[in-house]
Amino acid sequence: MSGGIARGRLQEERKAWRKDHPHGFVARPVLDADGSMNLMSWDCSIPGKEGTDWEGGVFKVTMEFSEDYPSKPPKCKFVPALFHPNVYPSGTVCLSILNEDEDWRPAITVKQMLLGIQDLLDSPNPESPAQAQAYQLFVTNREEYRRRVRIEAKRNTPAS
Amino acid sequence: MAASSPSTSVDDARTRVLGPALAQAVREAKLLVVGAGGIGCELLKNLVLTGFEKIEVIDLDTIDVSNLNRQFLFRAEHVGQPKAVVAKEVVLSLNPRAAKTLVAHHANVKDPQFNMEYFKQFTLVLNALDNIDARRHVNRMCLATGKAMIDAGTTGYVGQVNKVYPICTIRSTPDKPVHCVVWAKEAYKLLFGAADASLLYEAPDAPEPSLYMPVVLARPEGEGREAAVRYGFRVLKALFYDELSLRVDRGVYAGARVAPCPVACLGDEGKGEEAWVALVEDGGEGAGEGQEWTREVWTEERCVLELLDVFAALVGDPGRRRDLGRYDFDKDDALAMRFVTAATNLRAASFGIPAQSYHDAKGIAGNIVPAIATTNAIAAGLQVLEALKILRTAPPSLPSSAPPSLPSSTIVDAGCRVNYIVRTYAGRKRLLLQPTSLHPPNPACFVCNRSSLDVVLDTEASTLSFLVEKVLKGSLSFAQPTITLRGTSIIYEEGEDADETMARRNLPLALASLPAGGIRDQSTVEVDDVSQDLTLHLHVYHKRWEGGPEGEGDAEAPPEGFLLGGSAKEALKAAAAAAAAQATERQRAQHLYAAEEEVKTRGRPGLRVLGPMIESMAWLESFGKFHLESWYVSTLCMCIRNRRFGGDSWLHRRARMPIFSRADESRLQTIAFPGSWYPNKQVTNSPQFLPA
Repeated sequence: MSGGIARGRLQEERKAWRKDHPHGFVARPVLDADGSMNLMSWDCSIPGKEGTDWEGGVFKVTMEFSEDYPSKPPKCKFVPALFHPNVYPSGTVCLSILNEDEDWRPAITVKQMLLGIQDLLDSPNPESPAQAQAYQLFVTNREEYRRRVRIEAKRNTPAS
Repeated sequence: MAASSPSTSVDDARTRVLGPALAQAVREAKLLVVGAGGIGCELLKNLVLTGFEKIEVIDLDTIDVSNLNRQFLFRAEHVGQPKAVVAKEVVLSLNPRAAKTLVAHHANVKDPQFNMEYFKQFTLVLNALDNIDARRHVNRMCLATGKAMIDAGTTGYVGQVNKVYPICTIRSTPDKPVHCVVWAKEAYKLLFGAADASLLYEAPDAPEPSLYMPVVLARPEGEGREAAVRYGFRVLKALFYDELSLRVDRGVYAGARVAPCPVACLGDEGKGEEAWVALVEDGGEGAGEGQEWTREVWTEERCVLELLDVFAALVGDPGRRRDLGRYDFDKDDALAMRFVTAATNLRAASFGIPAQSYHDAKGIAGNIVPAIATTNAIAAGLQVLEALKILRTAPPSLPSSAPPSLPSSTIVDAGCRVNYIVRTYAGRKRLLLQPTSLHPPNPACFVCNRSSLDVVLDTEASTLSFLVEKVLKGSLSFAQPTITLRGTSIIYEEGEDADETMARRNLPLALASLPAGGIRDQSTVEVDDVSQDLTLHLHVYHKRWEGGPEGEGDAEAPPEGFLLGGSAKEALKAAAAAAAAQATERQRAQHLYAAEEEVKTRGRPGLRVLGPMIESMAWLESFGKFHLESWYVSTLCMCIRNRRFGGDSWLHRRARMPIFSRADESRLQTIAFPGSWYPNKQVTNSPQFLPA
């Protein structure tokens, strides 16, 4: 079966993640209606880095793997969409290591992807804007941009 | 037709010994022999003489002079030709009928042409390799294609022992011949090769300068033998007399067990330079004729003369002198070997170490763990015996006779042995051949990591919780199992970062109604344990026990509600026919092996098993131009006898002889083949069969 490669790799990713993953992160295949894990679709959470405007927030990301994984990267999406210059209005993350035509390599692990997205939060790349609102504020009014980011972090702070 | 009589008789004999079924299996089996070197030559010959006809052989090497002493299929005229091709041609003369079915490949077994499809055509694969890399490759190919592989390997008499010697020992206080040989090689390098790469080389500004360095560097101005010999004498005196005396005086050897004594005949009390020069010019005693001189141990005087002669040849000869500084030690270069032998012995003499013959020194200098012909012969012989066992138990014409759930490997495992050839009596039975049961697969092996277990339970009544708690944790010591179905669907996790929703949902479900198709009869369940780094494949068999686990109506019902492993197999195979067939099979196998075990334990009666070789022996004996066939049996018998009766040193000597002489052979035969060993036949030397 051709999907065997993708699923086999994802099984390994799951094992590796369970053995060792960064603090505060979550990554888990979703549960199918029938009660088994669907390895092709993962629910993840990324904490905002301490000492940044994103601190305190925990941002939900979904990863959708295709049967072509790991030749092709998964589609990573913030749910709900995030106020960030490199996040499309749909929530899709625009990041070079997640782009098949740029820096994606089959050896990149789920852990590396999530850490990469965390880095992106506080280091947006104005060269490749993905949404107008955050991008405009980022380049024109940095103060207002930071205020919006703090609101975004607050909005995504889990109740505890 | 007269020409057919030999092969007919040999065939008859084989059939008599092997039995018609096995004889046919042997004729029909298709074998792959990987390697045509020391073991490969023996093996190919054995196989052909045993009656195998369909053989392919792969070897990437060509024949070298140094192969000739033990790779009996090759003769001097074959040097430089591909091993596989020559071996095939030569063994063909033993059974011309195989002309169409013997195939030789002068190639690397790792070449893509030898792919899975290629391996699939064979009944058995026999390894006669000399390196671990190729072995691994063949092993994996065999695993992937499900072929039985019989490996063999020898190092000297036994397994591998890598010698490691500390360099300081070489230089200062040797206590084994090998130290002296290494020192002598360094001296050769210092004098004739890349001097500054030699361990004996000293930079001009060394803190504690030696006496020999300036002497070595003062090469004679003029040309000609005499100047060279005088230079040589000065060097030898410096190396073996002055330097040692100096070091003794300095107290370098104060701690040594035996104080070294400088070589007296080079010193002041010796003959003196003039006398030596005169002796060399006389030609000394000269090398003996033939091979005999290589086994003599030279006197000190002879050593000095040999050394001076080498100086004369290398330094005195204008042609060779140009190459000074570029000589590399080569054990096949007689001049270099003479130098090393003589220098070894002079140094050995100073340190009270036994002197070596030219031949022995060559063995050490070439880093040869001598490949011993007899060990190879035994290994190859045992390979054939194991091959016969596999063919007996799993005749290729009936591949599916065993019930599918009972792999025929069970029988093979019961009968086949890992055979260790050891050097000294070992173990309780004090045997030199030690057959040992096959090792079970290593569960941590990533190549064959198919560790699996059978479990029988009621998949409709038992829940996942039962499987996890009672079977996995209770009986199999899993700590935090993860359960995967169909290879990709995870249905249960626990431990770090586990999906507890899934666990809560699935635990109460009956196995058969679990997601992703459930666990049913014949399901394979993959169980991982993140905490133990362990993977297990559970083969699940469904069985409903009447009256429940504690029912009295069914004595088979296990109290725990499930059966694991071997007992599970038994329960499933309660189907009487299968069980009975298995028992008969096993009995037959054991009966058959009994004879073979006898060879190893009691010697003579069991030699009947070697019948095919002995039969072929009969005609080999008469087969004047070709002696190796007899060799096979004779070496095998001799080894069993000698190794059991303590002829080890004798063997050692023999095995190192370059080519066995006719006289040796006939002596061997008289020992090895008394007619009474053949149950049905008197062996005579008269030509009974001649090859067609």
